[in-house]
Amino acid sequence: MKNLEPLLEEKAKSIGITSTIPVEVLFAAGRVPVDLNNIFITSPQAAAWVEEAEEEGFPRTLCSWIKGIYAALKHRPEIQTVIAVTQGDCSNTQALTEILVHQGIKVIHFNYPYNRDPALFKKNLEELMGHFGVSWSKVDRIRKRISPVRKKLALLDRETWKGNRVHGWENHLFLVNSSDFKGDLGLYEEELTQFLDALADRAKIPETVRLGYIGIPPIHSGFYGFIEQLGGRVVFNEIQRQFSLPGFGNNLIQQYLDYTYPYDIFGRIKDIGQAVEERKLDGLIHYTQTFCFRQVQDLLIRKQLSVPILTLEGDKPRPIDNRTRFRLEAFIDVLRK
Amino acid sequence: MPIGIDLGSRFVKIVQTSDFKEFKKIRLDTVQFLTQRVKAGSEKTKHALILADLGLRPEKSLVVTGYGKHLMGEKIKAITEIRAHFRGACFQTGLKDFILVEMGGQDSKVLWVQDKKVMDFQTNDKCAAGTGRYLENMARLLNINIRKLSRKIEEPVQINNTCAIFGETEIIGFLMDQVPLERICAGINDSVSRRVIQMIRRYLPFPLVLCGGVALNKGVVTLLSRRYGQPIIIPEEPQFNGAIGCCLEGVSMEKIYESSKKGQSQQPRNLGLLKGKAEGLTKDS
Ligand code: SF4
Repeated sequence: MKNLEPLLEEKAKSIGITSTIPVEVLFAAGRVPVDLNNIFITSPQAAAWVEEAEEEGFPRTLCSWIKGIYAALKHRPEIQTVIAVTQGDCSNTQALTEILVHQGIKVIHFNYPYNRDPALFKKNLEELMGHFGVSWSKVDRIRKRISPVRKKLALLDRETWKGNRVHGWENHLFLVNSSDFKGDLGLYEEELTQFLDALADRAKIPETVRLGYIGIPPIHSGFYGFIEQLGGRVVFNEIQRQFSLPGFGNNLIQQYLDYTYPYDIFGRIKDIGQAVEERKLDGLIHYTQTFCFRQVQDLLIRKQLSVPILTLEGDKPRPIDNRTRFRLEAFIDVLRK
Repeated sequence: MPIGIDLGSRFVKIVQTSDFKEFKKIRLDTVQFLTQRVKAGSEKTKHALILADLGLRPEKSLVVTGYGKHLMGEKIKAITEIRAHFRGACFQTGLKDFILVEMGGQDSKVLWVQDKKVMDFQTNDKCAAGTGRYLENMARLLNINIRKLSRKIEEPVQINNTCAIFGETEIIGFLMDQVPLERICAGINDSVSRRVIQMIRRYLPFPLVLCGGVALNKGVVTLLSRRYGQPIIIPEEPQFNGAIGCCLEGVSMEKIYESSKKGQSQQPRNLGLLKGKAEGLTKDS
């Protein structure tokens, strides 16, 4: 067992999250948000963690992210409270929370209303605020504090597709981490600012096949690098970008109603369609997780967008396999002019 | 004169052409090719030796595709089979919108082409169902000539399993029930056509182009067009489609090379100009 002393101090502070939530509330309460997905996927033991969960009885026919989140919590005992998105994500998360409750972890549910009803959203948000005892004025103050960071993320995104100076995986990393700002907003902002400042000295990345990545972040590693080796570049990371709340609604509620991920697929398709036009994408890579309900949505995405789409499927956290490599190679090869 | 090589798992297909009207074609057995011709040589000279062996002059614009595409040496331009077949089929048929099914010896591919763009593709490399090997195995099982098998289309028996292994069990069952051999053969051809339909059902009913060795099987083609409700388009060179795609790629390479020498734009010209042959090439089943 690790030295528990500092951990106990953290105990009350760190709050695990299963998906993006209005993180402003946690910062306002002086808590540290920890996106459990990121803990899982950045762990060198990620694959072993999934197996651990399976050994405990989680079905093999269940999405690995759920098992990864479960195991991440076991390995981070200082996290005793979890905010779970149980509407706007998936029913697997719901079942997971039941196991967590059984194990003595405090679970707070957060729901995105499927119909995007502002009043309902406000009610849910205020409930969350109530849990942490924070007022609107505090939350608004934090919103103003985070706002320039979100603007910088938008700049980074622009530098990816318009400035053409940012690699696909750099774009992915900064955006995917904006769900919890790595728990330290100040440090995150510093890193981001430094990164943006250094861009001025960078040469443009040569124009190649321009790709959009849609769907949840990849469970595979080595993905973006391999694409660039083949002469492609991801200049749009759909969901990761959504995590950064690019909507800039002029209040917190609007901002989270513009966030496409937890609502119906049509909002996402519209957002993707705009990116295809604006960013001049040659093709899309749709990543789907094995056993995830979102695989069904592939059908609609294909029906509603007329752009070449390669659908990939990933199960366990591991480097991309040969079959995926082969398919990516063929896809980029046919998109070459 | 560009040379295109499709180094497949059963056959190696080689095409050389100067005008895209006349094609010099060579087809070799892959195993023989690998054991007898791919000689040790330096990376640089290997392909030249192989080509000289075949009476072909090695050219600058040599492009290779297929399983063994890297065997010709690192220096040789290799493209994926998807690109090779896409380009070959656009040229051979002159079509803009179509579904291409390529059924080779060991695997099959489906390409969904809209407005001369590959919008989607599928590859089936995990199972032998609906490939040349499936048909070969079945012919061996029934102890009849594959060409004879390929002509049978009347009253096909229903073979439910497209899996090569379980399909065999079903066939033995039919034999035990003394079902006429003709009907079993027709059933085998029909099961391949059903497999194709399964792979393309999700797409719009665009013209269906069939390439690869299985396209020469008249039974499969007839039964497939019956199921699809449209005539199937077989290009004039279904087996050399990938190699022809490679030749086209070679021409693009030369153009880029020439224009960069002259300091012109790097953009390759669209090869639509080569499609004059289309009408003569397509024929219905
Ligand atoms: S990938 Fe799909 S199944 Fe897995 S946690 Fe996310 S939404 Fe649920």
